[in-house]
Amino acid sequence: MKTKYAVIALVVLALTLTGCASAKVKEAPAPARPVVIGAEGIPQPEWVYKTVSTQDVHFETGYGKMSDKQNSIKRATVEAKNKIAAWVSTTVKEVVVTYVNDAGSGDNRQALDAMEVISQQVAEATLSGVTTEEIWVDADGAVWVLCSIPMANIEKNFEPAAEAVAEAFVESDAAAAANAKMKDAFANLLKGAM
Amino acid sequence: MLSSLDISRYPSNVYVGISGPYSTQERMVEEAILSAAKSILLNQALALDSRLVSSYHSSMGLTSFATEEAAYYDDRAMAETIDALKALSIQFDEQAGAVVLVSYPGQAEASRIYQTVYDEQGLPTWLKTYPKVDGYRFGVGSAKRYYFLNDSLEAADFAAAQNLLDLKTDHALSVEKVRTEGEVMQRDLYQAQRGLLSGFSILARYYDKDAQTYWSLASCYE
Repeated sequence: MKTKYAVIALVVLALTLTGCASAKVKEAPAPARPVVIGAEGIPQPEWVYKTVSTQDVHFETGYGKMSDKQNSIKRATVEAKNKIAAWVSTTVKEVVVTYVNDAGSGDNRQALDAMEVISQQVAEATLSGVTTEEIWVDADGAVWVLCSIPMANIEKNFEPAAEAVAEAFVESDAAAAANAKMKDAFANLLKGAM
Repeated sequence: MLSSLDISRYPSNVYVGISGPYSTQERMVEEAILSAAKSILLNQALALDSRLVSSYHSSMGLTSFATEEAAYYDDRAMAETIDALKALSIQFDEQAGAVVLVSYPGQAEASRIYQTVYDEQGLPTWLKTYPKVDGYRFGVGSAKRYYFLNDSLEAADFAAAQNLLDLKTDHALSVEKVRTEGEVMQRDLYQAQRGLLSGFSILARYYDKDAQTYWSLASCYE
């Protein structure tokens, strides 16, 4: 049970830190950009070319240019949702791999089997509550969307994978030490990012 | 013809139903009442399901973009709903068949959340930008003209419902496979999404004569 919560905590921390790292990019002074006006007379919003990030919500953009606006919206939202899915999957897998390696179990059969199960569960995890926050149509009629997902929803969806970790590994001193080490590393990173 | 379907000046518990042409007026009225009752049930709960497969090839671009979409509603209360309806008016039209206006006392009377605004060209502004009303979401759908008017409208309404799902998804699954061979890249994407809409309603319609396309503006609760 402790292991499950440790993995969930690490994933949430990692997701948050990814957000913070992006937030840092947002703060950098941007060169002056020419105003681009879209097909509907609306100026190009910042989120089209700049990463949007907050600590409790993850954002991704999507682009689509199809035969009509409705299909373009469909394609753009599909792309944005796929980016969110890929981001969640990659971040979660990285955390689990690091956790397994630092716990000293990375090279045994049990660990490899568990990783396979976890990776599959993560890859199959559904996204809950993806919302299209904004839509912009460029001068060529292509559609850009800004989609969001609350971090809390991702955390909830990650629970089955965390349970798999808890089942696969018995708590050990090495695992506890690795957890503590990672928490420290994340905390330091967080300080640097804020 | 669409003007007779416009119920924007009525309270929100007034619904319109159309039948399409049938051989007798009696049958047309029956079908139109059924259509109005269906709108009431759709307003209570509408489950949507959408699956999409797309393939992208680095040298050929997008090679496929196929969708399979479905909508489900609970029709178990259809008979009771029809019994409760109060008919306000019945009109007959060559294209629409019977157009029946009914009020549903099972639902509280409230004013409509949105009235169409037109731009300088006389086009509804919702064709370009989604309306914004607190507590509601909006979707726009279009469909090419079918042989029967009721089929065209249903297709546009369905597209608007799916647009609502695209813009806010309760659950989505996305699986992507990318293969590279030399300098060629093939990307296949499968995405499935589901949602349950509450308060689904068609607020406005528009027919583009030149493009022979019907447009629907739909809303549901946030």
